Amino acid sequence: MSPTNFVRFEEIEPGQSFIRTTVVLSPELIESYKDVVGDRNPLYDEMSTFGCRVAPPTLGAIYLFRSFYATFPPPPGRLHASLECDFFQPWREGEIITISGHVVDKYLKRGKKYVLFQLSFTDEHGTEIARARVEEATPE
Amino acid sequence: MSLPNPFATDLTPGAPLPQSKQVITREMIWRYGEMVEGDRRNPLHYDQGVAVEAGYPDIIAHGTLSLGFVSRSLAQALGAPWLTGSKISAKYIGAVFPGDEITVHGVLRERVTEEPTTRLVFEYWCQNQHGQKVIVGKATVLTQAE
Repeated sequence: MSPTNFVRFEEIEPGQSFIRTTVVLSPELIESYKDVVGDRNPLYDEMSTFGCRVAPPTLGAIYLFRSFYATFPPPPGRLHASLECDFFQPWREGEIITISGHVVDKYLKRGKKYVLFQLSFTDEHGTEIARARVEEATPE
Repeated sequence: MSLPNPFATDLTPGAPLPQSKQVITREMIWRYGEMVEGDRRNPLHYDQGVAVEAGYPDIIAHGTLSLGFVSRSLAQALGAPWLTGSKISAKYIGAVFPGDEITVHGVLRERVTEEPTTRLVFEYWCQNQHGQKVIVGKATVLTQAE
């Protein structure tokens, strides 16, 4: 990553939207996530509960930053400070998820710069399956 | 959407979540970084030299990687209700490094019945092998009487 190819804290404004992205919840993606976090719960494979295979809900967390960074490439050293996620519906295998989001706020806290952004995950029927608010600390 | 959960039926405030442990490996951080950041990799998560220069002893694991371990514990304890109609918050208060052993702890703090559902609020925290908390947060799950 080039150190000059990033969006500075001063350039980010509340209300700015992210580039909308879509992801397919492919079997490979779900398996890869389950493998990394060691979550082999048969719950995700059960056909009875949801009628299909599903993913751990925190799989959505892997897209929090990709979405934000696609519009606001980060300077080196930006770190995740906190988050809140609501999971409304299960993450069903094969679904195409659209991720949209915007900057909610930016502020100084104890001498550090923070950006707060919100993302919404919707399925192909337009149903919101999850929502997240994320706070990032930037070292600039 | 709320679903029945046998484990949750008899839980009262103060009840612990089953603990779970996970050793963090360099490979795990690398693989997770590929998924999370794509070609926008943060060097603090893969370049030891940059991490040391920034004042850390080693590369740092992504905070959301540990959140996956918390989710694993909640899914194990609560089953399907964790996947739908749930909520989690997390505050990252300490860095996690390769070789750390993270233990997920949790306690039921609140149980509110609003027929036909019951809302369970857990306080959880992740701590390393030195007993230092690295993540603190809450998880809320809606369950339905069977």
